[in-house]
Amino acid sequence: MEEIIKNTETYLTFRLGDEVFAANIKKAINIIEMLEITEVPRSPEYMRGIVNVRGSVLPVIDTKMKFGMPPTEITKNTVIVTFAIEIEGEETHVGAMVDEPGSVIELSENQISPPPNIGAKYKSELIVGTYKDENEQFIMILDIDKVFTLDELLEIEVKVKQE
Amino acid sequence: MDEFRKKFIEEATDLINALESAVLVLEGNSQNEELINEVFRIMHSLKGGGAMFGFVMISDFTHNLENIYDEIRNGKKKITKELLDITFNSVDHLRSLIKPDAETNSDTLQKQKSLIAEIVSYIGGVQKSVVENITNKETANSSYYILFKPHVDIFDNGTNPLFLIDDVFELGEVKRFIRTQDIPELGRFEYDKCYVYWEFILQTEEDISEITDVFMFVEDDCELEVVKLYDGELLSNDKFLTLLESLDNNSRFDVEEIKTIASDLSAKPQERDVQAVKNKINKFSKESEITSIRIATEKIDTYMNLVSELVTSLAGLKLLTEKIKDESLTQITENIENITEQIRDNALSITLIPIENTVIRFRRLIRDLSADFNKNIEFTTEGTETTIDKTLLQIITDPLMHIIRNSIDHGIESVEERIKNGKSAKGQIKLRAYHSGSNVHIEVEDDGKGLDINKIITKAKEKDLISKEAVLSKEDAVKLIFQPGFSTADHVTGVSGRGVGMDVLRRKMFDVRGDIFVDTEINKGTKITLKVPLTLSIVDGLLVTLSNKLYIIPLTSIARIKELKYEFLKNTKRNIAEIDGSQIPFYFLREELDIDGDYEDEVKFIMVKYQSNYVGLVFDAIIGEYQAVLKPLGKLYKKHEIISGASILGDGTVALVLDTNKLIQRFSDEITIVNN
Repeated sequence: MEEIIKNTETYLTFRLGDEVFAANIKKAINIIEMLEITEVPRSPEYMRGIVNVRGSVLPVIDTKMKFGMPPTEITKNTVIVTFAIEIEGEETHVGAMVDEPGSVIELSENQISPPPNIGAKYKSELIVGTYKDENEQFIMILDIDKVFTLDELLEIEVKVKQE
Repeated sequence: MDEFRKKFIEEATDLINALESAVLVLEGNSQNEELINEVFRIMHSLKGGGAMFGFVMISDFTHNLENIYDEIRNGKKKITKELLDITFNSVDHLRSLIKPDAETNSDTLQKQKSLIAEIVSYIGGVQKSVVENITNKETANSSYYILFKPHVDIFDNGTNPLFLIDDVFELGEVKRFIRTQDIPELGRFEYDKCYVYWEFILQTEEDISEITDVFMFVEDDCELEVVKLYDGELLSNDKFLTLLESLDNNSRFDVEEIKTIASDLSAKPQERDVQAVKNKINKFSKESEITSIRIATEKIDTYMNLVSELVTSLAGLKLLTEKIKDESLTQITENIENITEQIRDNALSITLIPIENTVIRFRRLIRDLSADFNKNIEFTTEGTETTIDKTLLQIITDPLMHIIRNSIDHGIESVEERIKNGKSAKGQIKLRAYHSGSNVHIEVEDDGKGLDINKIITKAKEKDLISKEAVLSKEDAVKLIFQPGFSTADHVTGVSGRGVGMDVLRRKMFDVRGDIFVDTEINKGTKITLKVPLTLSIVDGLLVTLSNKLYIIPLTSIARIKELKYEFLKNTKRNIAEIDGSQIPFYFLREELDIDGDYEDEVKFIMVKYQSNYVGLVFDAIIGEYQAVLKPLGKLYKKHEIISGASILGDGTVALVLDTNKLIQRFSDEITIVNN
């Protein structure tokens, strides 16, 4: 018997610390290796600065700090994933530092479980759903637009955690 | 088809603006025939385009309006104030007609009716004077040959050639020949191609330009030939018609043959005229080739971005060339550098547009408001050909509008008051624009009552903007008008006096690295000067460092640079240093910006302009002058005002461009908070 797969979407996974996250691949533009970051004075700490990507300026965000984790330590695996997000109706590019890029997976709607509600470590509104892969690895699927636009909200959370 | 309507709307917007400005000029030169013709021509184009693209209301309306100007053109009626009022109302109405809801909006429909009625009754009045004025003017019909052969793909851009043919029929008496021999056999026939062409013999009293005007929107999409055959009527001449029919073999006529027949019928041949007409047509098509094309602004933006990347890449190439020291490579690099500079200048010039584009709106505003306020004002301009970046022009238009409104409302006195004060009855508002270095200055000067310094101080004290005991110099008092919520107007009028504006205006100027100055003399007048950079995308800057990190300060904001000892600055009280006899407040940027490291013994003290004072900023070292291509930091850094952008240097490193105005504003706000 063949299972009817409906509404499949493709996701890009990446690792932040010990956790694995995924984002809809439609949102991802490319993955670039770490570049020298120019800090922008007096900006929130999770905004690490800007990099020169072939003559254009790309803001880089420390995704882990954005989620209230300790700052990313740059290793040879660290990469920047460029996402296209929408801010005030305009598309803009943002570079997200991640500890390690993962793989591209295809998931159908019925493979994705609803986001956890109570007792979750991360704000549930940022998570579209969850998925457990064949290695029993728990993967959280992110709403990339919300992650990078709800800056006030996350910033507060980050500050509270630091204090 | 929507595409074509959109294109027409763009064109119509330009035409309506041109109409408005022509009528404004006409107001002062009502005898100027060239202007009258210009007005007529614009209306005619609107009518033609409107009909062609299905804007029936526009074509109906301009048709009526055009009738008036036709009468004027023919000297049957003079331009009156009443007519100009009708025309201005019509301009406004035309603007509402190109809006998407024009045909369903009841207000617009109502307005269309009432204005047309007004126009018709005006023409009715004219006709009386026509009877008096008309001298037995001959109806001088001439005969023309017209070939109109549309390109096969003319339907692609939505043109219906049959409308044009109807227009030809409207010009006079016509004999038409339909040429169908190019229609292919059924198998090869494509339904969306035009295989038919037309030839006409037209007998009309209209000028040849009227005939070419019919085809003005399709001139690139067809083969067009208009030849004057004879200074008289041919179609009523049986001999001509017989001869013409003998020439007709269902394909294209030989014009020379028709001309021979025609000239045989008359004593004087029309050679010269034909030549003149041909020249005219040639000139016409030549001019339309070179004048201008429309480009979407996004395309220009993309072009500008690519050019700035080219400039950046060139810097990299230059660095490499210096390293490699190869003669032929050096030469190529120099060549590329040369070309790149030209491309950059050219790209810049594309984004620069003359200030005149905006000034038209001011003329209209002054005309309307003068009437509302019962003031007599003459508006003169100087240097409106001065060019400025299109984005900047948009940004400064509202501020200028505001300044002019203030001048009309508060500046210029009423006629009685002016006469009482020994001034001429007519008030003057003068707009002057000029380039100065990499900036554009725009002055708005009036000869009104000027700012009343005492009144400003009293108001400021009333509103607790300054302490009751404060004694202010004239300059400091003038600055008060930039305080939020400040207005000296005793009552709020429809146009000004709400106390919002001058502060917003100054902030807007600062946002674009510009400035605003006020010069005023009681009873003499006020001059407000806006200073804005020529373009937003390129900054002439000074490259400086802090802990080996690069920053760029726009040269326009730098007043002086001093080399000082760190010790000297460190030992000053409250961060105020005495430099050449002046007290200069300053900031250690390393601390203010939270940058690691320490200052060396020698530091660079960069004095920048802030409001009308100087403020020192302390850096480690100066690298040199640098022409930076400004890249925005993007929406995520939108709230981050102290950095106006980044620039990528030749070796790929990124330098941040500091907005010194915002920077100092921020520092001083913080100090105020600490003090409180």
